[in-house]
Amino acid sequence: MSLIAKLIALLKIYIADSLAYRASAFIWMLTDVVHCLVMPLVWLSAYGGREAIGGYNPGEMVTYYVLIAFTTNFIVSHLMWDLSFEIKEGVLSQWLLRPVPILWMLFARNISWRVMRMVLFVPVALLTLWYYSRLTTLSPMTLGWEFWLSVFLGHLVSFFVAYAMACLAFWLQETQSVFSLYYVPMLLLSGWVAPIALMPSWLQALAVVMPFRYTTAVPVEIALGKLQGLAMWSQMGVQLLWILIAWGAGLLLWRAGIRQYTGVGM
Amino acid sequence: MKRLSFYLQLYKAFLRTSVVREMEFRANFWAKMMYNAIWLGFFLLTLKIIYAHTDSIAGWSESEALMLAATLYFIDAVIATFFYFGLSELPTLVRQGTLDFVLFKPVDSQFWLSLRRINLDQLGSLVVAVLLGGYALFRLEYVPSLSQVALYLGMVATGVLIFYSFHFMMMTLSIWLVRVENLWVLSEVFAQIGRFPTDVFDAVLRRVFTYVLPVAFLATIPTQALLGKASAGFLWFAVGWAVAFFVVGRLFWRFALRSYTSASS
Repeated sequence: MSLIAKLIALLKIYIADSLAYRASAFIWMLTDVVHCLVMPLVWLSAYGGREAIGGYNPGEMVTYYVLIAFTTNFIVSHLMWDLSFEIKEGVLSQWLLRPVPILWMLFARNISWRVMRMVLFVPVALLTLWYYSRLTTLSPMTLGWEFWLSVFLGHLVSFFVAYAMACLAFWLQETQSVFSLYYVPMLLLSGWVAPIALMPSWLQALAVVMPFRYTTAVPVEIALGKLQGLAMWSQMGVQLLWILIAWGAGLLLWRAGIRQYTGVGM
Repeated sequence: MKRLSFYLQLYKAFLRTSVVREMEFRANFWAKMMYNAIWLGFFLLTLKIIYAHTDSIAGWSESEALMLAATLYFIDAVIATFFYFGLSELPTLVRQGTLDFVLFKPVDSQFWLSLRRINLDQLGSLVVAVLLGGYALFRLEYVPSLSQVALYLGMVATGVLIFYSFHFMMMTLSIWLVRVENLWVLSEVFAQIGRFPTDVFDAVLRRVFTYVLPVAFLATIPTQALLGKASAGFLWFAVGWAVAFFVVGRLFWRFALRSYTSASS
């Protein structure tokens, strides 16, 4: 069996698996729904007749939040919760025996869940856009191939960062609080809370050197036309760079971790 | 009367075991306190980002929005301290069929499930919420009258009851949705809507969040009452809502139990 055939087989399994959890997926989605419903309204009531805030006009503000919620569904991975559990409980032992690289398995599992989340979100996004189209003129968005390429790169950035972080479970007894704290910079600097251009300068500076901006903020800014030409390509270059860094870190940590993994529960 | 003292005794026992439990993991206790403070800081930073670009959100100044945030955070912390832990075990009890042991006890099952675990590391959040509220009033240079404070406290109490009952109903869904592990998120979403003044919504949604899904009664209306911007008549509304939610929650639990089939037995 070739590696591609194996990957396809894995995808089939994990798509079926994630469909079994569609009720959970629906509930998780509600947090995105509320976010992209409430935040634009908060901003819209803050304009007070002005044309733009931080370079965003009302229509762009609305599409920004709808797009950030949409891309987050596909991009932002939370795989460290499951994986760290599987490492600590010894589930990993069965995987080590399988004729498939574990990283591929994780990738297939992650992307199946993310694709389902994204598809579930499409009707919500359309409904939200329709709701807002009555309040303000929506800004155009370009969902061209550059956008989708950047979305896929963002997916990989988040996937490898989460993978590297999950490896901490080889050494740490208690990973929950570390993972929870990860969400503070992640939600802020990925552009989830607000467009990064609207943040105080110290946060903007921080966003440049952390990986989070290169998950969701970059593709959304591309779709809104805030990033174009050379700026766009160089930002995608940084996305690629973060993929390599996180991948490398993940592989090193994984190898070191496996060497001292004892397989609890065998 | 005898019944009441029995339940008081029982609650004392719950409290004692929770304290003992907490003392076993003291390092964890402080870490969690820190952790809660960081999340509050996160939300305050969100407010800062928005108010760096404007003086008012739907007529709410930054200090007023801080007061609202403090109110919601306080209600949230009360729920997290007294009800959250116990109820978060419900889905597991259903899945494993161990809910049977709860139902067999000569105690009201809602009482047992809701109040058994007291989460002491949330007590810090309660203090922080009060301090934040004080700071917001200080910034507003506003001293509420005694009757406004009374009105506010009454509404916060109803807010707690509404939020608790909502959370209880959502967790009750686990009787049917055995495989769904994230029902608690539904309550989080409920609170998430209430973190900003409900005045940001248009007329239709505002009515929905006042009269159908009463998010406005968690923080927006109590804060308005404290600042002298809501009439006292809202208190009766709030009490009505709280009682209705509590009764419906209780009936819903009884109804749900009729469908409980007990896994594994």
